[in-house]
Amino acid sequence: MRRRSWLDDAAKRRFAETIAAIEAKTSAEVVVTVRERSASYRHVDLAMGSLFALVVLVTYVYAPLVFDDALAVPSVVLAFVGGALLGSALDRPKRLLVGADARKALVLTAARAAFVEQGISVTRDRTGILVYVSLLENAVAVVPDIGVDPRAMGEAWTTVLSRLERCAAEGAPPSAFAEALLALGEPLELALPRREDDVNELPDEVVDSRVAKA
Amino acid sequence: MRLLRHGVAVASIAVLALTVLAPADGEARPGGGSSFSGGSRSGSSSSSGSSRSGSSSSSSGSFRSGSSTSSSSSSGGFRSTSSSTSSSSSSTSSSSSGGWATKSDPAVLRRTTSGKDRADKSRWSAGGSAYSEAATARPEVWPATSEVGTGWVGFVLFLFVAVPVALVGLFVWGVAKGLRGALGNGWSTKAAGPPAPPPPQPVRRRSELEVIRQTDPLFSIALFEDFLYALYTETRTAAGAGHVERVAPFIAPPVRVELVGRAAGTVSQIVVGAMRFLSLDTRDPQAFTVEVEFETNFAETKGAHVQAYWVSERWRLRRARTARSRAPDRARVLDCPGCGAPIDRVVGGQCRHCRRVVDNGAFDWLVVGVEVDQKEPRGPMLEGTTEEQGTDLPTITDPALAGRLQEIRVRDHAFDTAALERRVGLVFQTMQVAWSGLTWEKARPFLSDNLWQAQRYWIEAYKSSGLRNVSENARIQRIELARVSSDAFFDAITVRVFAAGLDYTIRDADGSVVGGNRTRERAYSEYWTLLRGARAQGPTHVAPECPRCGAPFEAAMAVQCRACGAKVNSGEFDWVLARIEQDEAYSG
Repeated sequence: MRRRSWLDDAAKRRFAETIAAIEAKTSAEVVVTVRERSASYRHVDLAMGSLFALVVLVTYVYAPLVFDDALAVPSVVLAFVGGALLGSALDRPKRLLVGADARKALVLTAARAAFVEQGISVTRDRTGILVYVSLLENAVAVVPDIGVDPRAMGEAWTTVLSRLERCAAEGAPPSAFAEALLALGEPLELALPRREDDVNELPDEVVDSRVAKA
Repeated sequence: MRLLRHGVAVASIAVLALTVLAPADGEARPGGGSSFSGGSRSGSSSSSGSSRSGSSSSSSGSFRSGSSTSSSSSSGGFRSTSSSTSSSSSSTSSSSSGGWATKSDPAVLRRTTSGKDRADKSRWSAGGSAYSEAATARPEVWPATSEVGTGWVGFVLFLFVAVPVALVGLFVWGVAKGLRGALGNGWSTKAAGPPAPPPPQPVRRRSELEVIRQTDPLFSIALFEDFLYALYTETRTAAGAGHVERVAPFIAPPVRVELVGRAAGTVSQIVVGAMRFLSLDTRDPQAFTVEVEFETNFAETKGAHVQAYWVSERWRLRRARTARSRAPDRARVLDCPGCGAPIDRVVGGQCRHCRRVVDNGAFDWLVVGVEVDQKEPRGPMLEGTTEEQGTDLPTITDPALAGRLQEIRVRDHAFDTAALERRVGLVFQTMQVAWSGLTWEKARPFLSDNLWQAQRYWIEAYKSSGLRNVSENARIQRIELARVSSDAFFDAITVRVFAAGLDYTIRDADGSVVGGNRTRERAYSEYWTLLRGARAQGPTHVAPECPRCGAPFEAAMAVQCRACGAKVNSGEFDWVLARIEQDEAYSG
């Protein structure tokens, strides 16, 4: 997923509008959270550093060249640092070196944590739904509260979820993802129709993570 | 992909192993793997399993020797190493100049060419025939090399490989970090975490409870107090008898269990001496939670043993915001909160009449916590003298007083504040007589049930202690209006009463003074709140007579008029004193 397109103001506005459209049909409270990544993947950075250090070390040991020993250790250390920094800056090594299942598990864990941290359960009928998008992993996790019964929505719910997951996996732009998200309104409308006294319990305005954490 | 991941893992382990092992056999690996350079270091190594032959080396720059059997020296001063190895205890010495060679042990490898030829692995040869065939294979022991002037390759590698790698890594990392800083690390359509809810607000003024009226227009603080007094008495009695289920609709299941567990016997003679609102919690969007403090006195009977207790406890009550208050006629009646059916129709928290679960606070106040702060086998402290506080403080007057008084005048043209003050005087004098004479029943027509009962608590406490609190020559000096409030059922007027008189406590047995002063008058002031039904109209009664029919009160007045049957202290017909607050406690 292209980070810039997901984190700019246009995407935020688009999702706020999408949520408003969904909540116009249902009493469910949808919250979209976009995160750059769901884990630090520090081990991948260290692995990258190790790999670079190994290359230098192997070169030092086996290359048909004569090296100044005094520079051996600094070379290995610098290669390690360089590799680790490079690894922390790039997304691709993380996708390559961390298995799909492990990435999925990390995203789900982070989504559940966000669900609690953002107080999405503070709704009258426990009808909050978190749609959590993690850009680095190209993954989405949908966490419904206990007032939302996915079984009651049957295939319509799973179809929408599959579409969202496909969009995420393919690195779809925010507009395509928002369109897929809009389809969430249909099964929700049937299972949790909007009530006359419905109030928007969870605000729809977009809040940057940095601001929110502060 | 999996292969790549595994490869990286293996590589990581390998680099770790090499990093750990490299220094140990630094002198025994090819390609300049020794750790000497610049001729400034020397060392020794042994790779034999059981024996070791140390060696020392000296170079032009420095000299270091151990307990060696032989030595090596390097004239070039760039690298000098000697190593010895054998499966038993052989020792080796070497001396080289621009290279190295074994001299005495044919089993030891020697290099016959200069360091520049090191790349040609085929030129590794054994010192003797034993290794001649294995020249291209990695020798068992890699001898160190001693090079002169060849470090520039490593320097170049360092300069053009390792440093750029580090710089590129640093650059990319910095760019990525800057990009993240500009774009942020994510967003949400909702703030991360609910806004920190404010802590439960301590109730400094009872009027703060009026916020409940926003969702329940019928909420009346006076009626709520009536309900709490009744609930406390019923609950304590039921819990003592082991029948706490009788109040199940108003007590949460865990609290019911707790109350039964705490009960030490049947409870009787319950008198609520004081009740204070401690806090109002409005954080829950679904419900209000109120914390109340009770100061009570009751007797527990277990077998033949009867013990009186003074108890201070806090109750937390919760009620859904959607619930509605009871009408005045049901305020002290504990029945099904859902439909009003008799409470014995409620079994296990569910009403058999309306079929609803009613012990969840959805319909009425539910006790969700009881904390006993103090429970002592004694009565309140009655002896000693307490200095009056706050009498000199200015009267706390509600800014809306005039407007609200006018509202009452609009509804009741006969309302007159002067008549109200005269009625306050009547109540005052009646109370003084009843109090000092320990004939508290006389004051009952002028006081609400709750206040009368609370004061009786003190009368009984004095009686049981063989004491009597005497008020002599008590008289009102002046009265100031402080506050007027109205709800759906009652008007309430608070006045500040300034009075003076002798106030002392004597022991009945010998007439000795145990508190106060029998000769010096004490000036004091109190805030009195009087209630009257919101629909009541007509002149205020300033004589001891029934507010409904005008029949004179009898000596032992009951709360019901014998002439017309009206409950004279209900406030339905005229002002009754409902609350007395000291200067230091009143906050408006």
